[in-house]
Amino acid sequence: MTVSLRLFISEIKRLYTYKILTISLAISALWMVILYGIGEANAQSFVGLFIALDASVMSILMLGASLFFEREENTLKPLLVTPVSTGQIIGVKVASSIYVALQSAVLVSLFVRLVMGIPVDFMSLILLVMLIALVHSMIGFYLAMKATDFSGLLVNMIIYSFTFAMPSLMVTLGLISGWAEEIVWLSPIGDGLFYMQVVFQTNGADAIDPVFFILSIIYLLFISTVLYVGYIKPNYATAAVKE
Amino acid sequence: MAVFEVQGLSYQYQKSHTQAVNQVDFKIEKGEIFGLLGPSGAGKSTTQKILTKLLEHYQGSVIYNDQELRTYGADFYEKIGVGFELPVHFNKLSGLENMQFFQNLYKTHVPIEPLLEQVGLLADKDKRVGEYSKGMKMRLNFVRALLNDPDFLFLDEVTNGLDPKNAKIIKDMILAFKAAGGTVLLTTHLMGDVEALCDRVAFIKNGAIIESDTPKALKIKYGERIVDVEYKTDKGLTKQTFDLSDVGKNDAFIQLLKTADIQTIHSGETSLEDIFILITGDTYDG
Repeated sequence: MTVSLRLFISEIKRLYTYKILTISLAISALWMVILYGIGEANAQSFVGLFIALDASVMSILMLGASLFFEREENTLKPLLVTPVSTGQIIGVKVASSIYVALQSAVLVSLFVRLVMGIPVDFMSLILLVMLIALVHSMIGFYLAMKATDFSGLLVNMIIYSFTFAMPSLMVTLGLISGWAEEIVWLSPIGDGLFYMQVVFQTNGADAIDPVFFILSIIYLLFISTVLYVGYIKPNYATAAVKE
Repeated sequence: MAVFEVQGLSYQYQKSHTQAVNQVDFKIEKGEIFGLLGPSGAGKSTTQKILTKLLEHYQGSVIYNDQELRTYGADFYEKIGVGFELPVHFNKLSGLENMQFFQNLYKTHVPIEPLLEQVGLLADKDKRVGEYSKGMKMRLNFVRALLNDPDFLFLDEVTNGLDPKNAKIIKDMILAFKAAGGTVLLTTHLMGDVEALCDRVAFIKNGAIIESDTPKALKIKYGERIVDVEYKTDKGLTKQTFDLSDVGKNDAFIQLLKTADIQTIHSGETSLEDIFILITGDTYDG
């Protein structure tokens, strides 16, 4: 077993102990209750919204909060003096965040498929939730490393969520249109909502341009790479060592 | 044989106008305990962070086992143990779970429970670390440094927050580590630890090493070559001072030893605390 895999397994066990996975499961259960309550017709429109928001906003919060609490406990520094590279440490934290997002997305999707009969493209769901969680974990890293304290992280996160989630939600719900529709792809949250149309085959899924679809994936991968190479990896050790 | 050979080491933090470490030279020989001493902010921790590869982009040369430190990858840590100044544990995991979390990352493992037993934590191994006292957390810090059977230990204020009994247990374990061939860099401002452990020491001030030698040699160098004799008389205790150089031929001294009711005899060898204050110009708060 590689050192990255061993660290990943330890990290997942730790997330269970810290009840982060339990909280995620509780939120999934809440989505299921709401979806069941609003009925099949509405649930097909809203399930994608819930999963996209879960994979994006929750990934930022989980990674940011985890990073802050670990800094408080001084547990970031000792990992840097083990035979695990900085890239592996960051990779495992992102992988854990993706794991949490996937767990929630798959459970909610299984529920709507098995209980409510809503069609789900599971292969697309897994790949696209992984992508949404990846880019938002990187954004979470960036926001947490930029913030000086936990309330600073929350403020950064709220600013990000309002800036990128609100316009995307309004476009998705048809509250605004026109030029806003043309630029909504610039929002990673907007891309997440757009992908969920494919996964749950909601209205407009047939009209999706495959070129635009692929370009948006490249765009999110590009953002993740720029954040990782340009900021997170070069500054991680300094941020971790800071007391 | 030198395990570490440091030459012209300098480091400046971003946003700082002064060098935290400035042209530092020293060697750490295999099998010795080397103490890096100095007041807070002198550059001890920065030097240790450079040697543990927590800080990069330093100037100068740091050779570890005949190879420049910069060229080592993450495998450098396979045979290195680091004991931090502050507790570094997951508070919601038990002591044993914490140790398993970190040990899992190394190729070489030593049994955890005997180590916990040695530092008196075996009975509390399943208790959450958040419920540990500071002293217990510091002992767990020390165990964490030994999990991978290291050849070299970096220890930063290792007895910080420990009562004398537990501090002695840790010091005895460090001496046992040395006796088994291990090498130690001890960063501290506690001169009691230095007296008990260090083969050689270097005093650091304002980022530069200003004195380095064995503790014994430093005590002689900074001490006075005198002998103080205290003896009882009708008026109470009387003290007389003799020159150490010819004390064996000094009739007054010999006569005093033969006839007086001697209470104490002390050489003028100074203490490391006094040397610390003298060299660093700092108050000693150990």
